[in-house]
Amino acid sequence: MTIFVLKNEPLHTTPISVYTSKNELLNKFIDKSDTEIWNKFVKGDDDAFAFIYNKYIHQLLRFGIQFAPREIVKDSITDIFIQFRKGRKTKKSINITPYLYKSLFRVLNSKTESLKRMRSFEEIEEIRSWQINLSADSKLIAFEQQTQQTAKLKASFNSLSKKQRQAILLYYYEGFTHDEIKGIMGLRNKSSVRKLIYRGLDTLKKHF
Amino acid sequence: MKYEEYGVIDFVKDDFFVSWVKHPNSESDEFWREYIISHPDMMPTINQAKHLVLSIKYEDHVTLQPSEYTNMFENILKPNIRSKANSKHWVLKIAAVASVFIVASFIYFISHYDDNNVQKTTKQTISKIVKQNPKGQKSIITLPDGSIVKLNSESTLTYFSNYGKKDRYVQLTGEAFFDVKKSRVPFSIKTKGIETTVKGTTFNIRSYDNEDNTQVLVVSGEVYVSDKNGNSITLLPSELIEYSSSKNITKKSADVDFKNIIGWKDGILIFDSDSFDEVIRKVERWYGVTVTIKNKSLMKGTYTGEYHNKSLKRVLDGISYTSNFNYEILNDKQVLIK
Repeated sequence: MTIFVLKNEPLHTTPISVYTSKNELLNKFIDKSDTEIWNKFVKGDDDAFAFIYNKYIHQLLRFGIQFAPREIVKDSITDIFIQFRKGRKTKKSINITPYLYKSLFRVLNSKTESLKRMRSFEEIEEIRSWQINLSADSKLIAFEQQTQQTAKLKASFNSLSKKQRQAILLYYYEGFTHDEIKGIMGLRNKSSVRKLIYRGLDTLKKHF
Repeated sequence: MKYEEYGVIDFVKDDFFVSWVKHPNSESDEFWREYIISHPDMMPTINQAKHLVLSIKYEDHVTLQPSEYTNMFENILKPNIRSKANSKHWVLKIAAVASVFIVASFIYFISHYDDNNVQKTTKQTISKIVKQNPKGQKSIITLPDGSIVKLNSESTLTYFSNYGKKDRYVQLTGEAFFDVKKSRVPFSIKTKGIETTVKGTTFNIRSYDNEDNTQVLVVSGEVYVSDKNGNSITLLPSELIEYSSSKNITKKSADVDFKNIIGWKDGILIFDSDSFDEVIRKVERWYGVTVTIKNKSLMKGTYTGEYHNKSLKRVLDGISYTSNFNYEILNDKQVLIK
């Protein structure tokens, strides 16, 4: 986890001085449980908010970028954090991760749908999202030589429906439970999630 | 179904197996160790399944720059101050979205009401603008929104009269350097095989019909590239991708020699260990001439050189000197190499 140093400078007319040094922030919360951090946040502790922001921002960006280009994702993340912080006094204790993912999913899903509708009259190939990669390495800039077999398997993964790919990535890569995925994707029940994953994977049996 | 009957995908679908692979604990470890010992023939299947579970990832990755991190954070905290302006902004946004939605649904409704008639009408009101450079000619094109395109030789840029309204869409064959004006309206370029989308950046795209690869190099800003197989990637400054129909999108390392790739827009003709074939092709394209080679045995080796706004004769002098051949320029448009 990287925390960037936020200096102790008043920015514009922001009255809140949440800027503590990297170590101070870490020390303040490192041994606190999620519930304790949450309680502080709800009471208005903006250091707690900064800690939450720092903890989730990178994975939210990575998640959001599957939908749309960077700038759109950044705007959306900003919006959901604004809402998240605004409504904190009224929030009961929640599981933060799926909650943030669910909000971002909803916002980006509707944004990309309306972007698609705004396309010009010509048949343009849709910018596809939620692509699955199969690799043991997770280097960001790597020139990978994939074997023929992995390439075929990868192509099969990416010919699954977008919802299937979303469910598969949320389960295997992000590590959410079926129940959490149901919430994030806005599906009716857990078995819908299972169906998406199992039916998708079943089509890949031919590779083995 | 018993584990013994499981195939690779069956293991991948199994919750207990997946939780062992991703978060092993002493109990699950013991179970699976015992199982493998008593069923050694299942080991290859289990290993394949384990590897597959661990290798599923997002295709696209990003890193958040420190400035982006702090800017976003500030924007989140700012609302207290700009709440009045904020609500106005939201009203405008909602109005815009609503009007787009209304227009979109209106068009949708009409096109379904009377298919043939309306198709013709919409097609008539939108025209195509084509800017084409033959060999030997480069040009600068200013698009309606002020974005600037430097178009290389033997290249064609196409855009439509509805450019800039809902999106900024162009098609390119050949090579061009783009300086895209910042706007909320996305700018996209369609080339052979891939589509590139940006908001406001500078970058180079190379996609000639007679070349296998399509290449995109980002100079500033951020560019989003996708191909028809659904592979996509976001590029940051000095990052380069190559696309070929056989290899899809491959990303090269980020330390790229810019001059080699975009020197052309400043009149710099560069040969970088180019094969004779490439040299001839570059010369033909740059000067708009046709080169005929009498003695094919001369076409070996590689050539490196750099010419800043030099004439054809000067360039041929340079190449022929080191490559040991003679040449003749006939009637301005032809070169004979002997």
